[in-house]
Formats: sequence, C-alpha cells, structure tokens
Amino acid sequence: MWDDQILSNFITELNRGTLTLCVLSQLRTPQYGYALLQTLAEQQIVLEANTLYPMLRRLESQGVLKSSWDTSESRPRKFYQLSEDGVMVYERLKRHWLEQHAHIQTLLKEEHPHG
Amino acid sequence: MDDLIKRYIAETIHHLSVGERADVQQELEANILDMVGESPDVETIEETLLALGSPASLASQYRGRPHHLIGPDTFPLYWKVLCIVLLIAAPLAALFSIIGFIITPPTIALAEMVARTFAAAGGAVVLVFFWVTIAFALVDAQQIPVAAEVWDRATLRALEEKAGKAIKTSSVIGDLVALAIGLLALTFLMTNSDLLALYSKEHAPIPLFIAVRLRPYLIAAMAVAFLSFLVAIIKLIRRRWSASILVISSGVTIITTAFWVFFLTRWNLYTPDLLASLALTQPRWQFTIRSLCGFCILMGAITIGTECYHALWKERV
Repeated sequence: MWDDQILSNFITELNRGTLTLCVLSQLRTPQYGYALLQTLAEQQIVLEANTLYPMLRRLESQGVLKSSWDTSESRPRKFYQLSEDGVMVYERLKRHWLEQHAHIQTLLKEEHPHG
Repeated sequence: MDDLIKRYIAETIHHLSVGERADVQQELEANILDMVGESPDVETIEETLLALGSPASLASQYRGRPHHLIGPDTFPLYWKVLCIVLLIAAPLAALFSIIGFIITPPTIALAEMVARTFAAAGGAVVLVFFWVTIAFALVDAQQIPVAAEVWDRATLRALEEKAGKAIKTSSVIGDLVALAIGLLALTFLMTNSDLLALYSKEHAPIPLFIAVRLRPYLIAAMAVAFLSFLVAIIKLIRRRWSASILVISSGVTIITTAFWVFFLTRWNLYTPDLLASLALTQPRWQFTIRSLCGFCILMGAITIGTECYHALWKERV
C-alpha cells in the first residue's frame, strides 16, 4: 500500500539522525564492527551492517572516533572508540537529544492528555 | 578466505578511490569474516553478502557522496542549456551545409545533398552534446555551489539593493550559443581548413591559411573557446556577479584576446596567394592585421570594463 511506504520513509527519516547517537553511546570502550552490531541489536536498535561499517569509517575521518587494529587474535579486527573530541560531541548530542525528547513528550502528552 | 568473499570485496573496492581501497578491503575482510563465523557454509556466505547489498551500493555508502557526472543540483540547468544550444546549433549546421552547396555546387545527387545536410545537423547535435556535457561535468566536479554559499541578512538585503549585480541569463545563453557554434566551426575546420578562403567569381577560392600550420592553432582556439564556455556556465550557475567570477571572467577574456593577437600575427600562417590576390605588400598586410589586433584588444578591454561596471559599481536602477 502506498501509505505503508510513506510511513516506512517517515520511520527511516526519524531513525536516521538518532543512529549516530546510538553508535556513539556504545563506543566509550573499544568495540569492533560486528560486536557493535550485535550489541545494538540486543538493545532493539536495528542497524544494517552496510550502514554501520561505512558510518564508523566516516566518523573516524571526522575525528569523532579513533581506531586501532588488534592482531592478537586468530584474525585481525579493527576496534573503534570515541576520541577526545568524540566524547565531547557525544555528550552534546546526548544533551540535545534528551531535551528534544522531553519537548516531544510534552507535545505528545498535550495531544492525548488522558492517554 | 572464501573465494566468493574475495570477489565481493574486490568488486566493492573497485568502485572506490585508489587511496582508500587497501583500508576498506582490510576492514571489510575482518567484518565479513566476523559476520559469517568460523567455517561457514556457502549458504551463510551468500546470505551475508546479499544482506550487505550490491558491491556498488556498499561502495556508495563508503564514499558518502554519490558519484554523478552531472549532479541533481546542476542537471536542470544542464538540460536547459543543452536544449537551447541544440535547437539553435543543429538547424544552423544544416543551414551552413546548404549555403556550402550553393557557394560551391557539388556534383552529387539531390538525395545525397539532403543526406549530407542531415548529417551536418546530426554531427552538430553530437558535438554540442559532447562540449556541453564535458563543460558541465567539469564545473560539477569542482562542486561550484548553485546558490550563494553564505545566506545571511546582508545577502538577503543584497538581493534587493544590488539587482544590478545580477548576470543577465539571456546574455549568457547568447554567449553559450555563439561559443557552441564557434566550437562546431573550429571542429569542422580541423579537416576543412581550406574553406577559410577568399571567394570570388573570377577565380577559384584562395585559402587564407596554410592548412598544415593552422591545425595546432585550431586546437588552441578550441581550448580557449572551451574556457569561455566554462566561464559562461559558471555565470549561469551563480547568476550574480562576485569578485571571483569577475577575476575568472576577466582572466579568460585576457587569455582569449592574447591568443587571437598571437594567432593573427603569425605571418607564416597566411598563404602567399592571398597577399598576391589582394595586391598587398607585406608591410601593408601586417599593418592591416595589427589594426585588426588593436580592434580585438579594444573589444577585450570593453568586455572587461563592462563586466567591472556590472560587478563593482552598478546598483539597482
């Protein structure tokens, strides 16, 4: 149905901006791509691998993340972690999100005062 | 590592710039091997690679910005310019072909003349498409923003106060059409330079230039015309005069003028028959050409002066 498609587009738009915040929230400690994907999935955050891996690279090139290769295991893995700037970016994004969330909740409560 | 995974990664990094291939390859290898787990079967590998999407789409995610020859911001303008220039250049090429048949009637059947006329128009379509597309692709590759980069109160007010600084679209389109025709003519002259001749009823056409020597200058002339074509497109995209556009435009005008002065004063390009038929001595001929150069310089100066006036002083009338 056409309206299902539009709804799906709205949800994608709604999620797009918040996914970066979700990813950053898990990177105070070093994580490799697939483990991060699983951690997010356990928290009901659906993120495709083909979105996450390029996103991590992009965030690294922007200086938000730093990375290092761990070669101690049977195969090498690239671990990502928040950089110093990344910690500051994450904190500010989190604060913005919480404020925005509070405002939206107020709006939605006004819409359904007895809900 | 499984052969299918290797081929998938190779195909993906093939879409990326050389500089980032090695890094992405290493990363993708590690991630995919994590995803498929230890000793995976073919089905698991296929499912994993299908879930990652096609190599082209995965590569586009890594690039961040989609690759376009001509991006969506510039495409409407590209299409408009292409249509306008084609609509004028194709009939003009056909008309030139017909005029050519009238001036020097060929010994061929009418059907062949009609076919050649259509071929001339078709050739013009191909060449215009080529030049316009190359020019827009170059401009787009430089990421020249369609709108002004700064949008603040001052820019907003400038819309009202400095309407005189707007670049007139019709005049730029006129330049583009003239330049496209010029480029067509130069391309045509590459193989038919003897058509640049002195025509008379009394004798056969006398070529103006020695064909072999002329060719490198024709290529240079095409390069210079193409530069002007690029500048016209930048003007059409930005639509308002700014210091940078003024500098670029004036620079290209100076290069164009210098080229034509240099070209016209290459005395060994002219055929001896031309001077003989005009009954001119070498000094008199050189004086005539230098006068023509003076005219070129004057026209260049007027062009730069007019542009400076529009870009720096002209306010809303």
